[in-house]
Amino acid sequence: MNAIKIIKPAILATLQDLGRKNYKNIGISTSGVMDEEAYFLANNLLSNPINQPIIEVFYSDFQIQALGDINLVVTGAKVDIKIDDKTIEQYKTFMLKDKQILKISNVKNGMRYYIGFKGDLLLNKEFGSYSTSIKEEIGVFQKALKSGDLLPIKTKFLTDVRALKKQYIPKYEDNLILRVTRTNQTNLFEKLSLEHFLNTTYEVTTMQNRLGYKLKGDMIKTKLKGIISEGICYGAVQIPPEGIPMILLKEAQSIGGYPKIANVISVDCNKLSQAKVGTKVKFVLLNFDEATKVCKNFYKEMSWQ
Amino acid sequence: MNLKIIQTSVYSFTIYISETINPSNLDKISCIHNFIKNLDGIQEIVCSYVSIYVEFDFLNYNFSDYKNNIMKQNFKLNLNNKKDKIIKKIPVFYDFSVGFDLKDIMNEKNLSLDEIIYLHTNKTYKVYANGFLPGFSFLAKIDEKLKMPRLSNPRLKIPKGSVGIADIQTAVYPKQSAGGWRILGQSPHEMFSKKYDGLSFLKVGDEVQFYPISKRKFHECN
Repeated sequence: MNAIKIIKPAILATLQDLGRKNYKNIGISTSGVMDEEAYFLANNLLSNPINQPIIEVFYSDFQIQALGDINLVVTGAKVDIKIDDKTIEQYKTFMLKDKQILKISNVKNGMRYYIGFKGDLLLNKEFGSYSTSIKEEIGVFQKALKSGDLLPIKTKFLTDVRALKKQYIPKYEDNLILRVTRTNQTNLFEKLSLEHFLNTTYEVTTMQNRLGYKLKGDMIKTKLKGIISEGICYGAVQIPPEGIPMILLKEAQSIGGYPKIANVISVDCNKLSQAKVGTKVKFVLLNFDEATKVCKNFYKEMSWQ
Repeated sequence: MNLKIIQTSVYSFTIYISETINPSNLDKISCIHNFIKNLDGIQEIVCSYVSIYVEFDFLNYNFSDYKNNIMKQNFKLNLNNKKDKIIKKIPVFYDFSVGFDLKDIMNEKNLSLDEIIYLHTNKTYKVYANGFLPGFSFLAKIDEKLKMPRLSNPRLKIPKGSVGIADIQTAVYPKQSAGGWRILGQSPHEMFSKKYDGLSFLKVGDEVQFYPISKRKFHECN
């Protein structure tokens, strides 16, 4: 049996797929990959089935060893990749041979990179998914991958090397425009508060994790205080009493009591999850028809089966 | 039923049943929930105090069809179908060693420990929502005399089993977590486990009552 062995752990490297469906009703978060674009591109290059698990690594060095030959690809944040002294390109499939060590370092552009592998993971899903949810300690490993952890794989092999054309490789800009739609409380916010929200340039801070991103910027003044707790959506922009937007992402709680001014479309949550500290963020309001079209196009482009 | 339906993202909407929390919401929510869960393309349903949040497969279905379908339904509450309600009982060890906020509540509300225990246990609560953490159930309403806001500075660590109150709500922390609820005691009862059908001990609409246990009993259960 072949396997990926973790040699050097990262700040946070976790096993992820597209997350859990239909467990929010008992308080289990969706979880899943933070950047679906990098995830889909990796599995597309490997001709993997939809919802194949992947390793998501947050902003740090990481090393793995192959036990038996394994086809891999690295996507997402820009990094340096080496096997022995040989440099490996991103967005291009390669073979990590038995006993070889893959060394990834020096995250340059973006915050999260993804290591996709070809073949079936021989571990059990938990609640219908391989995703690790750190807060809930749910998933195969229940926490971040540590050195010595093994991912046993029933390998399959690509017959050729596959690479993404340069122009399709995502870039992560220092100025981010996040497209939003209206949501639960948009109508309850004062007109001036909504205008203020759409006219302000915010900044990404260190207050961020897989649950969400807290931004920095001018306070939104509103008379709207807490609401009666209700189910919340991926991408929800909460405005807590201090008036600073907090965007909820993959591991966010299922129910919340802060008013929500807007909802970032899922396609743009991908970009947010790659935004480094200091990235400037502006919000642009789309109507639901426009937003639906953008999202449909994305998922159509990304699905290959 | 006077429903308000708002699209909340490309692939979700929220149905509001009422503007205020009251027990009759639960029957209405349950009735609508039963209808929605059988519609095609539904992926998530989260019921809460006054609302139902729904996610759908937006690639193949659209919001306005769901909205029109729900609005044209004539939801009838089945009031005759009153089953004998089972009250689920949860043991709690009310003690200063595990009830970190008991002293503050006693001072603030001018109550004795016995009075706090009496007020918290002498009432059945309804489960209005599940969420926040797996197995975390929001119960309401607690006695007005016990009502306290959340801590302004939440604790980073609240032990598993801690029983807390916040405004009109009470709940058991199913696992160690950060949190801002005021803690009265600790329960040895598992709130989330694969042994329960549906994983969570409590389901929306359930009736719940707490009862006090001794230190000896508490340690036996642990």
